[in-house]
Amino acid sequence: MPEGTYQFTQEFLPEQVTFCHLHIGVDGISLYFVLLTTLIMPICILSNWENIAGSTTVVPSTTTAGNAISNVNSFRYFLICFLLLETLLIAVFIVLDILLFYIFFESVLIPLFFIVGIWGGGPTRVRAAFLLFLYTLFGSLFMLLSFLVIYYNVGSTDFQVVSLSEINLDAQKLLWLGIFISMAVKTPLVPFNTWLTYAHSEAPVGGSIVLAGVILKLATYGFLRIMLQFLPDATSYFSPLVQLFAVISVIYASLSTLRQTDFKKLVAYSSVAHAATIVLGLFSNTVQGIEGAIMLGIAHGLVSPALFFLVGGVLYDRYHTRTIRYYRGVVTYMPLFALFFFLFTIFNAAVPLSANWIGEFLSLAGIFQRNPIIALLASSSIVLSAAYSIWLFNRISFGSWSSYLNYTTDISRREYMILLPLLILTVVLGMYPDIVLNDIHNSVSSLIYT
Amino acid sequence: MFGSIVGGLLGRKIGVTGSQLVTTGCLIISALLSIVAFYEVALNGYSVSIHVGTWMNSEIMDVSWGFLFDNLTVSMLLPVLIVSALVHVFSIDYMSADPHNQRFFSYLSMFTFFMLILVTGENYLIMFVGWEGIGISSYLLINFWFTRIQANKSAIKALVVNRVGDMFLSVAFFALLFTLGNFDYSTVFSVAPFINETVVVLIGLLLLLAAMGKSAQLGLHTWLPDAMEGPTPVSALIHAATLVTAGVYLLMRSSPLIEYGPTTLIVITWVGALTAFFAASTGLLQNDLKRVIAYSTCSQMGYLFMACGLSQYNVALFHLVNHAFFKALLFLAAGAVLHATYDQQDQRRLGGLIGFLPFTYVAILIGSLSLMAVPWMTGFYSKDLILEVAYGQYQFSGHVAYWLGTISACLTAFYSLRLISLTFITYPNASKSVYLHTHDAPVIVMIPLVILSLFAIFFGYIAKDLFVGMGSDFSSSVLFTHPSRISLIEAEFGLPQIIKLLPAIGTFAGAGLALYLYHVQQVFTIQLTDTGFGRSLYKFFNGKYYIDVVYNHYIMYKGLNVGYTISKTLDRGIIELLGPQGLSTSFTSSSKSIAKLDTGNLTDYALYMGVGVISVTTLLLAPVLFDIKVYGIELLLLSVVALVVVNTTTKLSPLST
Repeated sequence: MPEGTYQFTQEFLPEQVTFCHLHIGVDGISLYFVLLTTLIMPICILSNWENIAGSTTVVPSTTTAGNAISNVNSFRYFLICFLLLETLLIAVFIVLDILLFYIFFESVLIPLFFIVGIWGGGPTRVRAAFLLFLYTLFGSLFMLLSFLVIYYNVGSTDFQVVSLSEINLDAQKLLWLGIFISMAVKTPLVPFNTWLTYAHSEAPVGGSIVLAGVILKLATYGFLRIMLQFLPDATSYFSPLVQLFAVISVIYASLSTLRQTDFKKLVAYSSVAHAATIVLGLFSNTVQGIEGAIMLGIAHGLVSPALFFLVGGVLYDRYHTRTIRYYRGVVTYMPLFALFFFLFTIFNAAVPLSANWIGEFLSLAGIFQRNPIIALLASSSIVLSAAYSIWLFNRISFGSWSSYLNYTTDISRREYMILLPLLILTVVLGMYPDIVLNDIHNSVSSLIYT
Repeated sequence: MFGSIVGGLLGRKIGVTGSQLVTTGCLIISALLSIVAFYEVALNGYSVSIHVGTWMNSEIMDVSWGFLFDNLTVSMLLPVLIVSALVHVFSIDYMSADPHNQRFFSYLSMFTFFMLILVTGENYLIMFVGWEGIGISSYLLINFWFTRIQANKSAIKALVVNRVGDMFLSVAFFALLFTLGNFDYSTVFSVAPFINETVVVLIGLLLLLAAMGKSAQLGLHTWLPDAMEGPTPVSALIHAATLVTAGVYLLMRSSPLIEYGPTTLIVITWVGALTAFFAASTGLLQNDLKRVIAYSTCSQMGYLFMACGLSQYNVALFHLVNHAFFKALLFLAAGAVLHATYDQQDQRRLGGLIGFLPFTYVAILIGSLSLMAVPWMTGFYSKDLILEVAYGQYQFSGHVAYWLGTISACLTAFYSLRLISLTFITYPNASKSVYLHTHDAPVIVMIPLVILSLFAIFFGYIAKDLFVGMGSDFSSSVLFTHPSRISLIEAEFGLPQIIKLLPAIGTFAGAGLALYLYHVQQVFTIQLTDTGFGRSLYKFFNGKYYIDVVYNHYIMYKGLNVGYTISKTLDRGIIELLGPQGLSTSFTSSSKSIAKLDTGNLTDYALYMGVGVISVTTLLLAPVLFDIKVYGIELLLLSVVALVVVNTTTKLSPLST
């Protein structure tokens, strides 16, 4: 059934259809991930515009603390990394061949490794980069094995051929487990989440943005494309296991979010909680759940970058500390910042009229139809997310002006222009989600296991 | 038709806002329009529904943006908009000294806007938009003076406790979607009689929990008294007239659903009755002027729940509207007091203000009398009716509700009179400078107070026949009461005289006792707290039953501790140890110990060779000797084991180096 739904297909080397077939196209599922990537990338680059470019810009401010190289060359390499990353990410979303999917999925790590390791903030950035690299690479090895077995069984690595062929249940289970490990690391579900928080807190703000906005969505896309589509029986078989993992992740991550003292880590942990909600929706085997998961993925891809930019970009550029306790009463000098921060904070806690709410609501509604208990437990995130989000906002923005802070200016025009599109898109999608939902109905319906 | 203009007007304001004039003007116009809408819809019987556009659809779920103006909606619009408009007018003076006027008015209007969304939405999800929106606005309003740590704490508490209710509401929606596949009121209610009763009860209970969060019922009430940290007009608007009634609105709106789950109704009655009693008894001995009124709100919300639980939704609606008027009056008048006395909220430090603030005194007196349900005031018509209806149910829970309600009525009278005595009548306890500078309210403050006073006196009498009169079909189209549970007539004609009079008698007794204790026998009152029992009783009530303490110690701290354990012990501890940190250290150490094997001694190498040859031979011969098959994976395992063994032995015997 996927035939015909892929559009703008392009085949290179049409004679080599069995192995590593370079065949690209988009359908309802991948379309919005591609759009998300192309939207987020300029924002990433703009968000680091001043501190990486360093001396070349007129604005006299701020080279990131601990930044090894900050000159024109550095900026050039920075751009190269980001553009390479963008190319690879788009490639992941549009290739229609599992082996190429694997190759692009993995090669995303290379530019990301450099971004975190070279332009990262803190002294442990190299370790963070290694963690990021090794964790995901380790997980992906199993995925590679699974893909090779699929090729061995099916005789082709092309999406359409694979999706048409029947793989028996026992084989599916093994393959599924292999791929699941990789995706669980990337999502990340709970025992595998360590790399994410390190990478987020150490990466430059652009890196955090792309990590939260797009790279975590690779897993969402992988779940959808590979597991739900090619291994439907095993997916159905293992769904309760995944739900358990995910619901543990939701609660675990929410609770540990409450206690973070580093605001970038806090946002990173909240990403873990949201990613787990996405997984719940994906494995609900209902149209609402899966559409909600995609919606939440997109919404998280808009709101989380905005939050990272607000704390890791705007505030960090001004004060060079990530410790929440140093901040207080920011609203006094930065009312516009506080306004944006407030809006994105409550969006992060999924209030209605934001795309996050649509996504979270649909995901949980979907999982409720599958398993009410899991849904009830996962709903605790509604309370917890409000608690940690609003607490963070309150600690940073309200109260009297912190004595650790100097006088400062409100957000600049560049920062404003970065935030505005994210805000508008979130609200528009929250008020009229059909823009997205209408396009994914067909693709999602085909994923339902009956 | 007129209602859409109302919505449109308010929608425009939340964008830019600006001066007080724009917001207040818009609200006054909307309030007038709401009266027109009330006339059109409620009195003439034209329900209006406006379809704006689709919102989302996914499989069978299809939600639209649509607004519905029926009798229930317009009856809610009436108090919401009138009180809101008056509060705006009041705030012009009250907040005049504040540098953040625009922000205040924009928050206030935003709140009203979301409240309108809540009452006008034609399906549950639109209601939820308003529901969350008022939660967020109330966070902002309570936090209006953002530099105060108390305000910050209260605002966070209000938001989070409300979110607990929201969580249950969301789960109720999931259940609705699961069972009915739709959120439109009309669809849900027409299908409700035909679905499994257990499901209806479950959904009803979830809705109840949600309503408890918003309407500050026992257990989830803790945010309401703390919310008094906000500016007083906010308390009047949010915590008296509008936000807290949202929960009751939810129950009334869902009446066609709840009615089919009798268990839910009993639970609602009990929750309501207990809250009424609890809050009234706590209010008895609070010292903060605004907190007393807050607890009385809590207690009145209990009455509303009671009425809902007894299936008398029209009575509940009637009391809701009445309550909005007299409670807003009380809060605004209290605000006037605070304004006149440099924000002194502690009743013990006030007193003797009757000569200085005669107008405010009269306003508070009217509000209190109405609250106490003194006959022929507004409150009397609805509150007494609730109690009569409770008794008229002739069921255990109905009787319990009646008795608890009656006791609460006595307590209400007691604390109302206590408030008046301590603030206005007793010996002046504030400093001299306060009395020198005190002055009664300016005209712009008087206007809302006068209007509200008139409502507090006459509204009940005028509107009684409309809302709860015999044979009035006012609310029958919206509020559904199961035929077997109609007890209004029974309550009106079937009750013994004494039962009907008892609440009124109790009220007077409570009032009299308060006056007696605080004026005639003051020394006795003071001595009461000197005895051990009296002191602990005082502490217990003054400490609000220690519910906050329990929450703080057992839920907040425990929750945060769990979070700490998770992030430090599990995430940074065990996982780190087994994961990256552990791996890298163990790799390093094992490579070091392997390197140590390289001793340069010929005998050592000979030993390794010997061991190697023996083990390989064993492996090769194993299938023959022991009749087992050796696979690659086992070989791998074996070599790993060997590595570990070598590792540990070298560590244990440093002599080998």
